[in-house]
Amino acid sequence: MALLENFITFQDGVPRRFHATDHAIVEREIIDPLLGIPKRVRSLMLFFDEVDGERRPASLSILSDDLANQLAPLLPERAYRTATLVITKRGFGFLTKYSLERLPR
Amino acid sequence: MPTTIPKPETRLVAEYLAEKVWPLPYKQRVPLGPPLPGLTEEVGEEMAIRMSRPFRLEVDAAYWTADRLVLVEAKIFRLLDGLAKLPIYRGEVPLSPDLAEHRGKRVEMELVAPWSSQDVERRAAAMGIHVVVFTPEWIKQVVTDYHNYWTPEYRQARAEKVRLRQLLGVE
Repeated sequence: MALLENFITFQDGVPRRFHATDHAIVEREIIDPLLGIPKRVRSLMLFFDEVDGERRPASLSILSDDLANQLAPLLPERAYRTATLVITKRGFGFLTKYSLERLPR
Repeated sequence: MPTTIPKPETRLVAEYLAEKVWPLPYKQRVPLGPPLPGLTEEVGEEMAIRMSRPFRLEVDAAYWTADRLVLVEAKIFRLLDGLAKLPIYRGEVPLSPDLAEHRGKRVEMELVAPWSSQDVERRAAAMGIHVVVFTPEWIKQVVTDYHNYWTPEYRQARAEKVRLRQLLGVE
């Protein structure tokens, strides 16, 4: 695991626990992995103050519609603030799936 | 499913859980069943579970209390598929390492759908499945998209999209 890990990454099948404090939908430029050309995408940014039980700041950039759809109902009124979120990533590439668990704090 | 709303069933179950189930704890996309035979002995349980992922079943969601575990499957059109899958999923619960903490609990089944019918209710009751009708506003767009899918205008637009993808070498 990275020393600082300001930006969250996942290992296949390994759940990670977070407490989210804020979010934003931002537009940014990435290089399309298939075409190799720059393109603008919308990303859901989640900001955390706790990661895997450790109180520290971090953020997660979400491009996956799968995970964004699971999180979408929690965005209004920032309902994620009263929960611990456990996110597990499985697979890679087009077969990537995310599992979101929401636990009362 | 042809719709401008991406992954509508994922969205349906996510909204149902957030609006109707919370503050009970819940999890979406729950893998079910054991790892592939023989793999655990070879690589250990954790790696065996990860390597078995493409072959394991998955229920849309689960939520729980102290004494029960509820398996949730969301369907928008093919409700019968949801009814057929849930009893199979329930049978996998005792074999699922991901649900080990819930062993011994009563396992219940829910089908979440934007609509129901007498036939759906009758078939669900025969299998011990509870049907939950949950109809968010955006479902109307999904139905509209589904009906439009076969119109000449939409078919022409799709054909053009496929032609462009072939031109770019991604189809």
